[in-house]
This record gives sequence, structure tokens and C-alpha cells, in this order.
Amino acid sequence: MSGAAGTRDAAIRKWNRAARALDTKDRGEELRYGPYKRWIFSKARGRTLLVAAGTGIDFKYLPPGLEVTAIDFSPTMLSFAEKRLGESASPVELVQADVTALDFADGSFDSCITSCTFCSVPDPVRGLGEVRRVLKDDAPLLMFEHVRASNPWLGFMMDVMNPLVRRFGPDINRRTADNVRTAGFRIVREFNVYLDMVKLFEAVKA
Amino acid sequence: MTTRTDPAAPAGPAHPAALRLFDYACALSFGATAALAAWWLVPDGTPGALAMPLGMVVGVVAATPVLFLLNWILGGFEVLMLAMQIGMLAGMAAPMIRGGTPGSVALAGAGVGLVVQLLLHALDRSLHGDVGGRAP
Repeated sequence: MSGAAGTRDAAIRKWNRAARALDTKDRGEELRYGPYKRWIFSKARGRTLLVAAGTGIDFKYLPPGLEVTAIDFSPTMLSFAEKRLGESASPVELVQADVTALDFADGSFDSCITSCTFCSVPDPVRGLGEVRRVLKDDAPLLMFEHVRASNPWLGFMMDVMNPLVRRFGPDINRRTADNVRTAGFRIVREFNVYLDMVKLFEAVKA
Repeated sequence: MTTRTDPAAPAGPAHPAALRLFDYACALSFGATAALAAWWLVPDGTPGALAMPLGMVVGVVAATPVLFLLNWILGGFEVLMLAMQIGMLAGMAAPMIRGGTPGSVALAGAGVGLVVQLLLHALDRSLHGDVGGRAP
């Protein structure tokens, strides 16, 4: 098994284990961040790729009029998500897939939504590159993500805590804005939700 | 250049004041717990250079179960950040208290929590909103 495949398989196992906890612990996060998710998701259009559907906790924020393909690399997450399909105002198709190796044609989506996604993708730039490939040229990438704080003390703290936190959950010190740009996107809007560690991004192909 | 009063800005949570109050309650809890744990567990007479990092570790560990509980009730990244910061700082400071009582140590820890939350609250107010890069 290659190193990348081993990392991916370890990540899948970790998120399979985390699925049940994630399904129950997000009440506070939904109260705090739900309105922001609803707002950023409202900008999606047409055929939409939802990356890392998780347990389907975000389906209720999807606006009507979309044709959503929701992917996740964890089969356990998808089994939870299946129970929430009815919460979406748009039809959702669940697909087990790894965002770093998507089996979709180039330019096949009109928009892409992510929600706390690129904190958990082992190779975020590669994943974002794949998202770029499957998006049409003018398609928006709409992201709700937590990232490393720019404040030196808070950023340092996140770096210190990350090795422990990532054993059970996501990386907490990702530099997602840099990763988005490195993958070939241009950020057209960046909005701080909490400090500058919980953010909304709107991006298009550079 | 964007402004922070952009009419197209997203609406926040329905009851922000209630969430903020919860965050302050979390801060007091983390501070009191971390300080008490570090004060009890770091032996008296430990040199400061050792007692402070030891207290920091104890403080973070002690704050973790409280974090899990509070995060389950009404969690978020706000609560996670508080637990990390306050666990470290209150834990680090508590072994330096000589001759305190459990009540006074808990109060001091809660005070550390309050100050940290006030600072994070102020920083959040200064950062919240658009940060530029928006298309014309």
C-alpha cells in the first residue's frame, strides 16, 4: 500500500469511528453557525457537488432548485447521511468517493459546497485541485471552514494542540486560504465568522 | 476593499447574547477547574520553572472533560478555544498561589477565565465580518 493510500485509509477509519459522535455533538455548532451555512449555501446553483457530506447535518441548509451530489469517503458517515436525505430541499445523491480522486468528468458541476471539509482531507491542495477540475469555469466554490488563526499566540496554540486533536478529529491549523489559492482558485470573498478561525470563502477558478 | 457593514453580509445566530453568556460561563468553569487541579496536583515547593509547565499540562487535561460536557451542551469553536487557552494559563498560574484555599484558587482561576474570554470577545468583535478580496 502506498503512503498516500495508507494515509487515506487511516483517515477513513478515523472518520468511520467519529461518525456517531459527530452526529450527536453538533447542536451548539448548528445554533452558532447554521445561519452562516444557510447563507453561503444559498449561493449554490444547478448541479452541485457537496464535498464531505458527513452525517448529512448540513442537508437542511441546502436551498431548493439544486441537483446535489454529496460525497464522503467514509461509508459509516454516508449511512448516517442517508437518514437525513429528507431534510434537504433539493434532491441529494450520496456517493462514496475521495475528493482527492474524483470519478467525475471535467467541468461537470455548476457549484461546489464544503462545510468543515478541508480540515480533514489528508491532502487538501490535491482535493481542491480535483474540485477545480470538476467545476465549470464560472462555477463558485462555497466554503464554510475552520482554519489556523492568524494571531501569533492563537496560531501557536493551535499548532501545539493539533497533533493531539488530529488523532480523534480534524486538523485545527490548516491554512485553507493559501491552499485554495495554491489549487488555482481566486478568493472573491472571505468572511470571518468567529475570530479569523471560522470562515466563509467564495472562490472561483483563477 | 469591503466594508464590515455590507448589506449582503450573512445574518448571525438567532440568540447571540445567550451564546455569549454561555461562553462566559464556560470560561469561568474552565478557569476554576484548571486552577484547582493544578493547585492540588502540583506539589508544594516545586520550583517555579517546573511548576508552571507542569501546571499547564494539568490544567489542559483537567479542562478536557469539562470541555466535552460543555461542548455537548452548546459547543462550538468558541468553547474549544477557551478550554485550550484557559486550561493552559490558569493551570500555569495556580501552582504559584501560596497559602490559598480551594475557594480562593477557584476564584482566581475563574478570574483568569474571565479575562481570557474578555480578550477573545474583543478580538472577535474586531475581526468579525468581511476581510477583503471581494470581487468588485
